[in-house]
Order: sequence, then C-alpha cells, then structure tokens
Amino acid sequence: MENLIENLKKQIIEQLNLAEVKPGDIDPSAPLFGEGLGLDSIDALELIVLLEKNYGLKIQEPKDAKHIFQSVKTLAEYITSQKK
Amino acid sequence: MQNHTFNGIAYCTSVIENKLLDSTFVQQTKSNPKEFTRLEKMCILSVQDVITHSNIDVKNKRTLFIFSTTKGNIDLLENNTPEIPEDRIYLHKIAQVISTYFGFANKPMVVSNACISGLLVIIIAKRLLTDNQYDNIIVTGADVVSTFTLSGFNSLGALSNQVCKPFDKNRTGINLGEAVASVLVNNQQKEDSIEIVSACSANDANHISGPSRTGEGLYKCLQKVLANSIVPDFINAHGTATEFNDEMESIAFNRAGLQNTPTNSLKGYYGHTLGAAGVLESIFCAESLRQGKIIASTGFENQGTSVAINIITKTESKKSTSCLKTASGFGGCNASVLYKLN
Amino acid sequence: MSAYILSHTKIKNNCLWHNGKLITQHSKTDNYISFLEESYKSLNLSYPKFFKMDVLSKLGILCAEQILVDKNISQFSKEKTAIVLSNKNSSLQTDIAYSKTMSDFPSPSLFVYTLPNIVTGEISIKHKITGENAFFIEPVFNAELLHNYTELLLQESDAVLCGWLNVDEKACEGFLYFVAKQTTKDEKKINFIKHNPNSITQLYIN
Repeated sequence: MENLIENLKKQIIEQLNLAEVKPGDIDPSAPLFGEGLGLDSIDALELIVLLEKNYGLKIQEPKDAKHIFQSVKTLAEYITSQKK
Repeated sequence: MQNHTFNGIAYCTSVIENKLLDSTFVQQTKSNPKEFTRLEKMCILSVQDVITHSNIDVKNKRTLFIFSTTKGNIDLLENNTPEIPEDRIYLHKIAQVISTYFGFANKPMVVSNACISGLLVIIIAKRLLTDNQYDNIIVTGADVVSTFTLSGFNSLGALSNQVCKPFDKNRTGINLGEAVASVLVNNQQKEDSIEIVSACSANDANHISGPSRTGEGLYKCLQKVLANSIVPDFINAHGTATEFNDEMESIAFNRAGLQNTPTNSLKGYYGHTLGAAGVLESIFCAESLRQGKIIASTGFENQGTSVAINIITKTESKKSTSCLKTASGFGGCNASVLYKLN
Repeated sequence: MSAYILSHTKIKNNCLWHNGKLITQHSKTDNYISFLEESYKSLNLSYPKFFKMDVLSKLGILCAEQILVDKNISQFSKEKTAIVLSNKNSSLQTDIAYSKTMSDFPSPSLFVYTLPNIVTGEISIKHKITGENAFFIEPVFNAELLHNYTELLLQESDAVLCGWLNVDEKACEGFLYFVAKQTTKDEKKINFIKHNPNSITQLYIN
C-alpha cells in the first residue's frame, strides 16, 4: 500500500502537470479537490484517464468517482480493492 | 440526428451525408468535389446561395467576407486526402479558398473564438457597417463533425447517447452537429429585414472550460444588450444540454429578469454546430420573427436547473417583434445579440 | 481623446522584452518550451496553473504579465478592457498533440486547449479581465486589422490588450500591446506611442 501511494503521487504529478509539486508535498490523507492540491474538473477527468492507463480501471462518470478521488489514500484503497 | 458508435461508445450526432453533399456540389457548382474538403464544399454552396439571392457584387471593394469556424478542416489530421494540399489545415487558407472561388475583391476576415464565433462575426459585421467601412458583409459560420471533436468531447464526458434535452432534469450532454450557415449583413432596412439592435461579448474570467456558476459574463452581456427599452419576445439560448451550460444560462436569464420570457434551444434538431451555431441559430431567430412562430425546445419535460426559466414546449404561432440570441464557449467567452423585425 | 499604446511585450528567438527592454533570455537551448518555463521562474510568477497550460497559453500569459502588472495599466477598468488576439496557426500544435492521444487514452486536459481563444481565457482568469473578446486568424501579422477593430472597440471599451501569439513546431512568437484612450494632458507625462498601424508595425518588427 505504501508503495502504491508513493507511485500514485508521482503518477498524479506527471499526469496532471503539477510541476511545482514534489511527492513529499502531498499528504496522502489530504483532500485532492477543494483545498489540498486544489484540483479542478479537468484534473478529475485526467485522474479517470490515469486509472485506466496505469491500472486498467474504468470509471464512467466523475460523479461516481467523488469518494474514490477524495485523497491519494482513498484512490490507493480503491485500486487495491479492484485487484482482488 | 442519428445514433452512432465511436470506439465502443454510443453517441447521437447529426451529419450530412457525403453522397448528397457531393452530388449537390457538382450539380450547383460544376466543380470537382475532390478538390475541396467537406467543409469547403458546404461553405461554397452556402455562400453561393447568399450571393445568388442577394445579387451583391463580391468584386466590389465595399463587400467583405467574414468566416467563423472552431476547427476548420481538422478532419485532415485523421483522413488520408492526397488531393487536398496540407496547408488547408490552416483556417485562413480555408477562407482564402472560398474567397478565391467567388472572386471577392477583399481578403477575407477569419474569426475563431470557440462556440461564440458565429454570433461574434455577426457582431463584428455590425460594428464595421455602423462605422461605414463596408456596404455588404457576407458572414459564414462553419464546422464539421470529426473524430477529433467527437473524441475530445467524449473525453470531457460531454456527449449524450440520445437526442439532447436542453434545460431538462435528465439532460446528459451534447449532440455534435455539422453545418454551414451564411447571412448577408448590411445597412439596408427593408420590409422583413432583421435589425441587429444591440450586441455584446464578455468573458467570465473564471475557468477555461466550465462556465461561471453565476453566469457573470453572460449576465454582463445581457445587461448591455437590454439597456434599451426593447423587451425580447423570446430567447434562443445556447442550451447545449450540458449540466453546467444550461444551469449557468438559466441563472443569467433570471438575474436579467428574463425568467418568464419564452426560451428555447434548438440544438436537439441539428446538434451543437460549434462555429456555425451563432449564424445558424440567428437564422432560426430571423425566421421565427418573420413567420410569427416560436419553435419548441427538444426533450424538455421537467425543470432541470436550480432556477426556473420559461421553456417553449410546443411549436406554435406567436407574433414576435424582437428576440434575444445568446452563446457561450470554452475560454470563458459569452455573446449576446438583440434582434428586431422591421 | 486619442488612443495610445501604453505598454508592449515581445517574445521572439527565446527572448522576452518589455517596452523594448530585455527581461529574460535563454541562451542555453533552442527549446522554446524550456525558455517559456525558465522565464516563468525568472519572473517569480507563482502561478502553478501555468504548467497545465499548452504552449500558446504559456506564451500569452508571459507576454501579458509584464503589461498587466505595469503601474500605468492597473488604473484601467478590467471590466471595460477588451482582449483582441490573432495568429496564423490557431491551436494547431496542440491539436496535433491531442490527436496523438486519440488512439490510446484521449487527454481531456489537452483537448480543452484545442481552440486559439483559450489563451484569452487564461489571461482573463489570471488578471480578472471581463470585457469584449475576439480572436482573428491571419496568414501574417496584420497591424491594420488589429488597429481597425481596436479603434471600433474603444468607442465603448476603455482599453484593449491586443496582439499576435503564434506557435509553430520549432518556434513561438508573441507580441502584445495595451491600447487606451488618453487625454492630451496625460500624453505629455509619459512617452506614449500613438495608436496607428504604422507604429504597431514598427513595434512588431523591431
């Protein structure tokens, strides 16, 4: 899980062009949207692409993904749960 | 409007059949259809129609051609078309091809400003004419459906797999459509001519792809355009049937006191035609005024916006003297025009 | 009241100028994308969204910054400032970049930049400018067109940010300038340039 979280941080930074952010800056439990990284609706769509591209997981609507994209931790938990 | 599948995803879109386009083109122009792209053929037919009906002299230095498109010949990126030179990917080149075909004396003006482009070129024409720089301006708005735009709007989750339902509670997104529409704009007031009373564009300064939640830019346009004493008899909205656009427009209309004005979006009949929309829908506004008829919005059953507006649900006779046309687009742009029947 | 050009910037050959003064230059590489990002850092812009933008928007943001933070400019109403831009290529480089993602994983963050006026949106967002917009496509820089439309807009707008922002495969070119009406009294205060096609062309080519 730790490994997955660290990888996710790097992938998020790359996929979302967060050039000024380092993995160490991202608190895995902090909200991704609103405060924290302050991501927006386009970022949410890119996270959907990231999930499919890197983990083969398809999400149809950003609305369904609200709880999944809450934080890096919830994202990691979702990926882990789907692998079973 | 038809259902299609693209990369395994179903969507609903409106396209012009190639055989019909080519046969019409050959019949009406006697030119080789292989030398022009789909968009160019559609444009030539459209402009030819305006020139024939209006009998204006395009070789006159007081005549101008203004062209509006968002993606032009973007289908050249995906199709193998050896007969079409590569430089036709450039929007100014498309305008030049059309202009040269008809022998316009002046170089064409080209505007590409997202989905307000079609309305914006009408606004620009009005400003040039008010300043007496030209006598006649042919304004053309054009865009085709392409894998590029389908793919793109699909990546945004914006496409609907059924006929779109503007302002409805169960709206699920846009239908893409393709069209070319042309109008002649000049200073001649005749019976049945449509006057451009007032016009405005403004930016939300909020987000590049989502509209302002409070409709700032559109509301600003409405305030400006309605500053005279004319109250529009109906509104033809942008009404793309996305969650955010329709919500924003309804808020802007309410803020401007237009919540009871009969309102429609016609995009359910022919799709969102992007750079053509502003011109195409202005033509429908003009015809509604001339024929004394208001046209129903497609698919509206239940209020789907947080504030109510008065959606036209039945096509019927209604004598109108003025109407409002609105448009909004990516990049936070908005535009509005008030039309009046003479 | 006549119109004057109060401020202008240029990006060309990996150099950024403001009012004729060299602000940043990148001598280490021909890569214009690196140059734009290095310029962002040298200017201490502190605007993380910059890195999400495509090249056209990065170019526009950098050119607009020096003008819009200029103290002569901040007095003008942002609600009555128009933005009139132009270029030859529309958003072609980004269109091509997006089309390359189409077969595998289409990128929504690239697609939203496949329109030339997105740069107008980005400038508007950063500086809260909410006036009129227009984006013209021309085969080459057209001073007459920009001058003509700007003068028409100035009948109702207080100011116009105008110019040319073009991205090619191998280079990018930006030229933005700020036009506003000034009374003769103000004219004598600072060295304003009269707004006409000739002066615009001179600023563009020099």
